[in-house]
Amino acid sequence: VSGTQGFLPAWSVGDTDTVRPLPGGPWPPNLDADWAWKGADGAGTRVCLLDSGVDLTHPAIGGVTGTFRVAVDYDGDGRVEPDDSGDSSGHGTACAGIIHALAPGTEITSVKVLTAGVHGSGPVLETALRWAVDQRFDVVNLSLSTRKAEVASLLRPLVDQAWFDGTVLVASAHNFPVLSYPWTFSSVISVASHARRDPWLYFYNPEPPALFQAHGVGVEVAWAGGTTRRVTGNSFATPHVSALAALIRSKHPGLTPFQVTTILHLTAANVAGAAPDPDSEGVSR
Amino acid sequence: VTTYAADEAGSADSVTARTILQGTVDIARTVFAAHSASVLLLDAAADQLVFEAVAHPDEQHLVGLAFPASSGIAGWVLQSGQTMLVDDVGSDPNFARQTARATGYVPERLMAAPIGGLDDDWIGVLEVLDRSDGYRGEMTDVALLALLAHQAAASLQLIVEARQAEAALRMARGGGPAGAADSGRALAALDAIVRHVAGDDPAAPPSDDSLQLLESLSRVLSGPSREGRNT
Repeated sequence: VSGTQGFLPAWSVGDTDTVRPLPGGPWPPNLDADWAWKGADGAGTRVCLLDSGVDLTHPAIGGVTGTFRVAVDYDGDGRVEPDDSGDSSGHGTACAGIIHALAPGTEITSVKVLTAGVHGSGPVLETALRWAVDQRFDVVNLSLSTRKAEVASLLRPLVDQAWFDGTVLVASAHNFPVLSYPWTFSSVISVASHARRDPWLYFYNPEPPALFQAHGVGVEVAWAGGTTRRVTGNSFATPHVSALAALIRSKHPGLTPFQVTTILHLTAANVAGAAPDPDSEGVSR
Repeated sequence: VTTYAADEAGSADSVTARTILQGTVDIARTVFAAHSASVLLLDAAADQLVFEAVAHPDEQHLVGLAFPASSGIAGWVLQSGQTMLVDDVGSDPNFARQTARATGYVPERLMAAPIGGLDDDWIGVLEVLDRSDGYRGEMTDVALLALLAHQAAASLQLIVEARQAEAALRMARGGGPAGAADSGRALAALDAIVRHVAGDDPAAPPSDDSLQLLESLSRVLSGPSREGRNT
């Protein structure tokens, strides 16, 4: 250590230091989807799905390597434990099917968070998110939220921990004039819907708080009981973005959540200048 | 599936709130040209969703019907706070059988939006069965449903608060049934008051202070009338 080095604030770069290179080398000047994620299948990444469970017997489901649930005791203390009770709603199976269809190589871990109970969704959400962030998943997909401010104050440091430890949080935006968490936190990738029939198409939304728009209207999905459904809702748009984040991390290991978010922004159809015909029903991959 | 006993007679506030709530489901049924529309309220103590208002002339018997809050599409909407539209629900024989047994009607299409409490988590669900194909578009349907759910929230919140207050009064007066549900509502109401006064964390379990307040209230309200009868 010499010169000004000893007086540098933490995380700063001194005048004689080599600036740390980006993992995988510098980004291309015209960064596009071809570079960002095309050709990747998600191999080497782990996605955690906080949802209603997964029907493992469904033919459209694959890549699920672990199934857990959140149990909340009388005092409101939650814990994550192994679970083989499947999907009691159908929603989780739909989301797992979407992620597997777009990123067939990614490992999916399901955490069942379907417990209304006397304590509401707050402790369930906090327990599940804390577990997922501690497990350092590459991506966490969540469509649940809480409206309780005191739960939000517990979630905030978790969301920051994820951002700095390298876990990308992807959450469904509300179409409601109410405030809920954690999707409204600025470091969470929040997802609303577009009405085009293209699972690979996504837009950056320049009107916060929802960050991106993905395929969430008239989505054909797997459903519990080996069936299929046609569904609409932001919670079905969300796993499309989770899968894309997994593809990006699969192709470019070592990126931070900030960089993954930046790449999603740069490759969004309206930012990259590749917005397709509004009548397009095709698949653009 | 269980059926709840007939609800308390209700204060003027809760009667007004019920009228508004019925208006909301009637509007929902009309604008979506749907088979029916209904509002379900979470009974947290029992972990059940209970039909609170139904818009369909032949389905009023559903009011009071309860089913588990931790399953099904409505259960997930309540848990996640996310609006959802699902088509082809009737194609699942399991779903069809269970639904038909409970309600007598098997829909093909279902829309559900969460209803948020005033300062609480999600307290209920607005459901619309078999909306018609109009020119509204699915995005518009979701937005419209969300607006109606937002309207339902205010009346549902009033109903919940009125019930808590009525249960607290009934217990304090020493009259009427003091069942588990009543005690729960009474404690919830008193707990809210105590915490508001003390500035405590409203998410914590019922405190001893609330139990003491309930006892004090009971003594104050029942004491003089008994003494009056005795003298």
